[in-house]
Amino acid sequence: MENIPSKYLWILILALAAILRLPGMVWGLPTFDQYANLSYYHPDEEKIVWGAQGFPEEIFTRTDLRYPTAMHYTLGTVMLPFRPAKAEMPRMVYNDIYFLAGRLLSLVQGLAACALTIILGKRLFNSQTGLAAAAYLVVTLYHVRGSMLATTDVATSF
Amino acid sequence: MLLALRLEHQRGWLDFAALGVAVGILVGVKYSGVFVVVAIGVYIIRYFLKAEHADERNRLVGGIALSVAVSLVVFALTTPSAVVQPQALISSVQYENYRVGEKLVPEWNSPVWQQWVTVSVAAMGLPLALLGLTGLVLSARYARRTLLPYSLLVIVYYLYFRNALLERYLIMILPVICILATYWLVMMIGSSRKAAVYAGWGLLIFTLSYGMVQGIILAQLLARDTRSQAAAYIIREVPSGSTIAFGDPLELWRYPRIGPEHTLVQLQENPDYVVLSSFHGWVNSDETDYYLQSEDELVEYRIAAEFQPAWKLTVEFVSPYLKIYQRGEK
Repeated sequence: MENIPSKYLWILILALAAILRLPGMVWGLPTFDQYANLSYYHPDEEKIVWGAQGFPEEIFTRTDLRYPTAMHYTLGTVMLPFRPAKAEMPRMVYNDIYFLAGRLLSLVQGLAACALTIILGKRLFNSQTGLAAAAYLVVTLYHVRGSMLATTDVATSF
Repeated sequence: MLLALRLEHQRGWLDFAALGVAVGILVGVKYSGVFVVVAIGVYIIRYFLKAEHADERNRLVGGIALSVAVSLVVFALTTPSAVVQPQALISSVQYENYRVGEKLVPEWNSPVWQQWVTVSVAAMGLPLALLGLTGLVLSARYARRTLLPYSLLVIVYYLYFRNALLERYLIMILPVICILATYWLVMMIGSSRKAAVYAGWGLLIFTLSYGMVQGIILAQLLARDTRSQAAAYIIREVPSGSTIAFGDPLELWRYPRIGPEHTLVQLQENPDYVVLSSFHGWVNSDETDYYLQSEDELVEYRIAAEFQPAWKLTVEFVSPYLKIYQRGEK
């Protein structure tokens, strides 16, 4: 491994991470998924997305705190410029775009977790350990699956 | 973790504050993020014991106090209603504790160990789970100093969650498990013994390939989800106005969704159609038991359609095996 410049391995690992995670992004969103007639989400995705749609109006009034709201409001902040479009498009399309944005946020967090694993492995041992650990994380089933969903799981690994 | 590691050499107030910001955000994303304190705590104790002068120790104590204060402020900023409505925070946390507690195996008997194995294999695949476990054991011999905070974090995490939702909570510590799985392989690859080098490369490549194949299968299963196919069938074939029952209305996401032209009813209400899903629970054996048990109750129904995934992956929600039953002679 030491013969290959590590920057190429960085790129390779992060590219592989994106390739494995991207196909699931549109799963269950009828606007984007030709096989989904009705919307499918992971049940926790709805909590995040509805929380994001309630941002900023409900930041002091929200009573459902089963999840703390950092993820909700990050998505809500990212999507603020998009909110005026609500009146101009079908409800389902509007919701699907929110879900997709939430999943893309998870993807970014998943990729960042892979990058930080490289750095942590390097700080603890050497760059080979960091790269190998990140390569494992890239192909770890639950991390792949979690990075495709607008849930809080992958954000905690970041 | 990186910020805690950084404190070994950089102990400016900004470094402590940055650590507080990271912990505050982590807990602001998910309460279980608080477990990172286990690993950070080991680092802090180590720094404290290494400090030679009282000044150093005082600075460390002050720095930690700053980190704690900053993390509380950041948490409050990420979840403002927790400050305004503390009762909502308390009842939500109590609800989550109850939910986790309800799923815990109450005694330290064999099911706990079985759950750890099952859940670890489901979350990361058998090869990586074995490499991680080996790395955890070997860390006591080869990398105790370096890996103690991380090994302890993994152990405490497994002990606390046992079986309750561990497969999902495990995602937080997956990067650590991956490091535990690889440091000793890299040591083997760097060894002077040829057999060790070949074995190290072999294990590394095999585990990566295994994960790759699982990732590709996952993408395939999501692209042709059985629930999407079943929902399309229901819309196409089930007459408008029909009543449909699922095994457990609280777990609807494990079944195909139905449109407004159909009515969802309880199984006891003599529905026109019943849908059973193979995914009902976190453990394969329970899943199968439930599935068979429900199937036996449907004496007045015949199978109208089946939707079977091309591959089986023990991962939450992905393409369950679905059967749609229609009332009528078998």
